[in-house]
Amino acid sequence: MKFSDETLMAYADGELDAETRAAVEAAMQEDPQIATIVERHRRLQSDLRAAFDGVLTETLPEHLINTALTARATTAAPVGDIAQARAARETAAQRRWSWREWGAIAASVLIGVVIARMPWGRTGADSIVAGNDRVIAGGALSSALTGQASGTRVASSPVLIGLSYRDKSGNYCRTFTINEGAALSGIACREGDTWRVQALVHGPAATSNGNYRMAGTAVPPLILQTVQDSIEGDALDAEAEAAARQRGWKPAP
Amino acid sequence: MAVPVEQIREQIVSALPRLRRFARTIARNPADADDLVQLSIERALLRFEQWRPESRFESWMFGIMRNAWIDEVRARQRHDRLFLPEEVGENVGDATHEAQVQRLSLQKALTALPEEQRMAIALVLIEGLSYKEAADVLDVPIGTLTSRLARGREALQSQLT
Repeated sequence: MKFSDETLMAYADGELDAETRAAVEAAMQEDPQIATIVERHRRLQSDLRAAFDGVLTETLPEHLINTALTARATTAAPVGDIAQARAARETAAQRRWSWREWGAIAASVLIGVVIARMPWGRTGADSIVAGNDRVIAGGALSSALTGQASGTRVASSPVLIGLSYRDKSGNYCRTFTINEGAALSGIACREGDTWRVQALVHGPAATSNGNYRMAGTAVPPLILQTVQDSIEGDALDAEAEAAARQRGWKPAP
Repeated sequence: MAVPVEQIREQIVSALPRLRRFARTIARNPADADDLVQLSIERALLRFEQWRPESRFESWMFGIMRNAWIDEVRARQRHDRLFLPEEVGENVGDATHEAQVQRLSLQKALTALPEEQRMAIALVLIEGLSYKEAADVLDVPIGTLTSRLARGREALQSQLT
């Protein structure tokens, strides 16, 4: 039986129905030339994969992660008149309000739960300090928040800073992950001389392969949501972050 | 019901390695490829409600990337800028090893294909989409997809052997 090259290609790609597939397989048994063609199609595929798979394990550029996490998203189609525009604005405002409320409640509950359950390692013990009505960063966390650049792993530090941004009141905030004993992710914002912890959740432990970070699993949804909710403008790039650090994280004039 | 934007953001971040790989097969150097990913993420977020969980998330993103690339190419042609295919594969490093040489020549051969064949090859053979999914991403009938795929394969095989 004769098969077109497209049929053999479809066979190699697993796209044939059962009947045609069986016919091709029978023909391959009889005619080694057919088997050779199929083999060539398959080898091309595995060679192509080998040629491009290296990209999959490259370190992800920080700016792409930041874009995914913070670039503007719209929900509604363009509006046609004032009444529609107002309606759209009101729905958006309502939605944001309910999120914010939910986020704030969830964050405060979670901080309590997380602190109560935390099997503190030697870093953890003084990293999160409960004040009067606030939770602030201490120890290694506090110094990482003050001095460490985003997305850079420092050998002596169990803390990884994700990104920095300004919140709606102009204060600087930074997302962080502590990875010792157990993993914690959170957000802290600068208030006066301290870092106030705004949200804190148990995160998945970072992979042992330190420089390849699947940020999708490293940033828990609640943290994302809180960033989304409080961010003003875009996340800081490396230059703006360095400038803010030099100013001691004081709110920009 | 549209999926909440936070979920879309997470899906984008999780898909980043594959989005970058697909971009690397379409654009002709790594810098352009990441710019394409960046632009596509921005576009996706501006219309995130159009994604439906019934369709594969990556396929949706690939479609956006394809359109973004077409727009980009048109814009560049307007500005009379030329593509410089020489930079391909610069990330491979020291190409002394035989396998590396082969990877490089295959990358070069792929970028030399006409764009429509290149995308068909990238979607089906590298990204593993079905013919139907790839045809949807490229917005063409399945027959068109398979003939582009066949021509692209033939060209690659004749260059490699």
